[in-house]
Amino acid sequence: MAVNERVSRSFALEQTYVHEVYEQYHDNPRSKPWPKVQEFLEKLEPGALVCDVGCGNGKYLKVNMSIYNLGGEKSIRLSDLARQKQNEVIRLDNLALPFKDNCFDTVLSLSVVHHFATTDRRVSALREMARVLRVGGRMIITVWAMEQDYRKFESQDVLVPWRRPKLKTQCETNSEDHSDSDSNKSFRFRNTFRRKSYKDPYRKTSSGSSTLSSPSETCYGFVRRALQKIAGGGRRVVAGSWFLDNWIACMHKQPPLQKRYDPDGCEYCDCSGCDTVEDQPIELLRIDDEEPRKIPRRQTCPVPQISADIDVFKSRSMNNIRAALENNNNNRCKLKPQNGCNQTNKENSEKALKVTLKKPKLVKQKKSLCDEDADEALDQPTDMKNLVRAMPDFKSTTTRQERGGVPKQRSLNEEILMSTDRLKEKERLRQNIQKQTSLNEDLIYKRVHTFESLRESFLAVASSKSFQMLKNRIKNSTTMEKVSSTSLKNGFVKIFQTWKGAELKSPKDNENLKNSLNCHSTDKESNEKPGERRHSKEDGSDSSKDSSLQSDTSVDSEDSFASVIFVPKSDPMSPIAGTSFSAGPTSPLLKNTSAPQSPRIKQSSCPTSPRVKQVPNNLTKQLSSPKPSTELLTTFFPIKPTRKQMAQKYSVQPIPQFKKTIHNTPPEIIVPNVISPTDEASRAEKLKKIRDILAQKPGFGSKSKSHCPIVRKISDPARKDQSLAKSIPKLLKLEIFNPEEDDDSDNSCVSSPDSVNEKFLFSDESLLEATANVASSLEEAVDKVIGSRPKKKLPSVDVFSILHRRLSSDTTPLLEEDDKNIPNGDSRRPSNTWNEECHKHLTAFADKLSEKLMKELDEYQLTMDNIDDPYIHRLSEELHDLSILSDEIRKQNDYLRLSQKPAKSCAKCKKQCACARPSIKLNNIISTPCVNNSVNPALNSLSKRNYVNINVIKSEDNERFNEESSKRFLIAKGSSSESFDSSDKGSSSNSLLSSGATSINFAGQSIASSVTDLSSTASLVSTESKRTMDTLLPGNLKRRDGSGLSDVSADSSWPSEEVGGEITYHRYYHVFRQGELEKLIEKYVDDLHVVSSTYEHASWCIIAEKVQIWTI
Amino acid sequence: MKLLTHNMLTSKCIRGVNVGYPLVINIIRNMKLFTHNMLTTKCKKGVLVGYPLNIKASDIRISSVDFNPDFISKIIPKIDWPVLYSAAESIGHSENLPKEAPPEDYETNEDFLKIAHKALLEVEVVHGELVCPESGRKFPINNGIPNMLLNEDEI
Repeated sequence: MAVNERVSRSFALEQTYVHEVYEQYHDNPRSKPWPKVQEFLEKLEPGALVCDVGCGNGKYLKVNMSIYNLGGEKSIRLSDLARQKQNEVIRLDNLALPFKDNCFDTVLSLSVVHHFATTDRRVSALREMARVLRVGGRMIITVWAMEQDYRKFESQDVLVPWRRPKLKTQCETNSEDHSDSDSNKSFRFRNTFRRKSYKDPYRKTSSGSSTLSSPSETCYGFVRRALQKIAGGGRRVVAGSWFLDNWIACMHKQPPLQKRYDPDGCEYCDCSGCDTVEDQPIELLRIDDEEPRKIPRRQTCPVPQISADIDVFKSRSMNNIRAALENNNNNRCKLKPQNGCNQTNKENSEKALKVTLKKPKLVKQKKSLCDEDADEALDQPTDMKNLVRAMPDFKSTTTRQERGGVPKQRSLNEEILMSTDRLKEKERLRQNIQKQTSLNEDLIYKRVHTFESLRESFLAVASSKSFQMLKNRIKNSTTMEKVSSTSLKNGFVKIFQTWKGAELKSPKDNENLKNSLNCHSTDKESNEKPGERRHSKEDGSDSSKDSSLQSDTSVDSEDSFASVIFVPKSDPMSPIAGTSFSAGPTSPLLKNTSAPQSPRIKQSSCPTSPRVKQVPNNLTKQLSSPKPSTELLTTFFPIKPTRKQMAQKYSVQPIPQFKKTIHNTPPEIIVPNVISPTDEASRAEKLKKIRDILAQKPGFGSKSKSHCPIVRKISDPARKDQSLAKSIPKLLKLEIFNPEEDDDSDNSCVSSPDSVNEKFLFSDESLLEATANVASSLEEAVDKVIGSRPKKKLPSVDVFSILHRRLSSDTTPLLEEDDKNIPNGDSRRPSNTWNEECHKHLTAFADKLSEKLMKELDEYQLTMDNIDDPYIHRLSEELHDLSILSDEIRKQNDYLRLSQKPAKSCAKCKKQCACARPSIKLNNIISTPCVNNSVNPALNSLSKRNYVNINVIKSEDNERFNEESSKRFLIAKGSSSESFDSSDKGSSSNSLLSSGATSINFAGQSIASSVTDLSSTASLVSTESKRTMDTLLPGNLKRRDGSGLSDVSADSSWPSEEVGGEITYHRYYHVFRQGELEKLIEKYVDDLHVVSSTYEHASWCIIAEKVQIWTI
Repeated sequence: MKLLTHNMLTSKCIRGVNVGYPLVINIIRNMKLFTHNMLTTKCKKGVLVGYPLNIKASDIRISSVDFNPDFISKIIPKIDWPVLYSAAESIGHSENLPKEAPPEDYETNEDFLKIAHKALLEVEVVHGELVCPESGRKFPINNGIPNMLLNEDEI
């Protein structure tokens, strides 16, 4: 059975990767006969009957006209080409030569035997040729060598990309030019002995590729399709393309690939089809390297034994793979014990993945051409590509080596850099991806768990009290105007109802948040990883995926914004509502924060149900992959979590503490603001004072200035980044900054909601209190602004989301200013005072920006304009200063909060939550909404900047938090630090490019995409999403893809495919090690005697003579 | 396909076929000769009118190949002469070919070598089919390229 299967598989493989490819062959008149073969032919005596089995285009049929050249070719196209040259051609199969025995004086087998997929078939082909060869006749055999100067093969079985000569002249030259180039090279014949020196090591490592017949091989066509899909649109679809690729690769690679160097490439040997240097060969891995052990070499074992061995190996490989998968699953389970239900789903998804993976064992050296292309920019593979480009020889990517080590885990290991943490993260990401892929349901389940956990936390905090506190605060703060308390109450009630109803869902969100929090570290790791990934092809693919994911998230975020907008509308109406709304955003922030921990998960979640989730949810989703899955639920969930978070924050974090801390740390002015947030005038004064102080403080001013542009533009991205980065504390700060920036852009319309959001964000971090105050003040200001400018509100629905974002950003800047004056923790109160100032600023901005914002909001592409706005710059600068102050304040506040956790107000609870795990989560969540805001094209750039700023803030916060919570915070810090760098870069650029750079800094993968996509802020988002989405599910990617940003990112990520446009064909080769062919002949073809063996043109050239065998 | 090539072709690669040699050459033109009426009826059924003529012109082609006595003289010993003769006869180009075996002095008999040269190298079957004498399996010849490929289940 196994034998038959292998035969059929090998046949399918050859049919798909040899015969079908050669049917696409385009004759290359420039191709010249291989000198070695030409010499051999010219030495034949006249009248010799020569059969060229596998004559290709018949270029060897005209070398010596004094002999009878009969060409045999299986390919219709090639046989026709040869026939057109007045050659005698027969279509035949090397395995069933239609010739009499002993009828040919010479048989040529040039670049043919290496196309057979199994040792059995190779031997069969050799035997057939020996049969038709007369005794004393000589046969010349050339096969591609595994040991090449310019190409390295990890596996003996490779799929070498080959593009139509038409498309690439190089290809043509390469294909048949192999001979040409080789001809030049050919003169340098290398004795096999030479090769032996370096062959030996390879041999040791090399696995018996001869046994290619592994079951997976049968599915070559399928694999190819899958690869193409992955490489092409399919890849985009697949969130964690790299991840999937890795899996696939692992699956394919089940047998570890052995590194081999095929420097000279197949050039002349495969005259017909040449490999484009750019394309890296795909190595077909056999499950076990052990195969060679059992079968010292294909040749060593008798054919039947070999087959049996092969089967065993295959089974092993499959078992190994399965085991690995199981292990992965187990790991996943371990990682996410909460997700018991999810696990089943995951398992299913994994199974599906396994199934898909199992079928094709083919593993591209580079995950996929597309991947490679995408990765080219950043990944080491690019180097390989470059080399390949420079050198016609195939480059077996180093990735193969890595893969070879641990097939499945390898990808993870690569990304993780072998760090267990990273591995865990990868697993998580994979799980997330799988879950997402499987269905959002899984995520939802998980989220439920998270929600439960969140509930517990909330319960502990006395969420109801916290909520009430929040409401009270909101009402108090909302005294502002309009809907205020009622709207807030209504909103809270709704939130609670939704929460209660969706408790199950909410727990999921909570879980997501938790996961995200947990993931933060992973995210950080992932962030760290990207650099490594960059090196690896997979990394590049990841980046592409991330970008795609980001794009999806961006879309989601937009959706979420819309949803959020609805909620916020009530909020904006009344400051209280705003606060409640802010609470909602905080929850999303929390989610986001959680997401950042597991950015991939977040991303995945984000893409999945971004719309459903409210804005915060979307943000959180974007940030946290888990959210996406919940996205559908998210809209509901986000609110709930927000409430919970708010409650937690409020309960936990007493506002006064923040105030105190704020007062202590940041400018004194801030403290008074905090104390009397309600007093707008006092606030304004305080704000002014703070500003003055800030201005006086060169550091702040300089920082803010430097950061300001970045913050504005970057702030959103920074948020995203932060969320992605997972640095919670920073997120809060960043959020604040973002809002400022956003505010600048969206001052008028969005101001109220944004302010609320901003406030929430602040509150989330421990700044929640301050943010609440600020939010109230902002809301008031917004209300005023709105009242003054109804137009802004009118566009609100859609515009509102944008406005909210912008306003949030705007308000955030104000808040930031306040924060500056009053450290972030105090920021709420100071924010109130600031809010007044902010209101003023906002009003002015609103006046100026309102028109722009309206347009921009309509277009969602105002980000750039916003960035350009001088107000935004100012705000950004102020925000920077504020962020710095807020950081300090936050630190102090954090301490105070810890002590004051009783939560004087809901905002405090939120703050507290944020301070603890929630703090990170909140930060993330906050960042996530910001990210969502940024998701909008217009906001994207701002969001990026904001993110950067946020990241900086987060970093500071992270430091603070680190003191409190070392691990998560540390992780966040790491991310934040990264974000800082990026933000700094971004600030320098002040443009999307800067944001892109920042994003790049944040995530290596995202960097590439972002760089490519710098033109569009969306790219940044996409990059962020990619970062987070390292493990993102395809669905997420699709969503992201849906967004223009995602498209851009996807494009960037998959440049090779798109750019190439050409169809890249892969030809199967079994590259021979030194002495392998000789052994085959000696062992299985009794009547052939090897006369000489030489190395030429990256090929082994063996001349064998048929001898009479006397049987007694 | 040249008769020299045909001289080496067998169908023994088919599972169950022990010898599979020589392969019978069927040429459309011959079919026409056998069933002229039938062909006409087919034409009446809508087949392109000029189709038979085209086939005539293309089924057998006599191409000029440089005469190389040395080459031919060395090829002849490797030829299964009866098979060559029968093949040439089946396609109507067996003129002057010795039926049983080449003359003893073939190496110096230039006339014979020229005849052999024509039969071996210049006569080409462009369209037709090769039929396995044992299994009846037909191998089509298109554009002078015999398709000797077998299905997997035939090997």
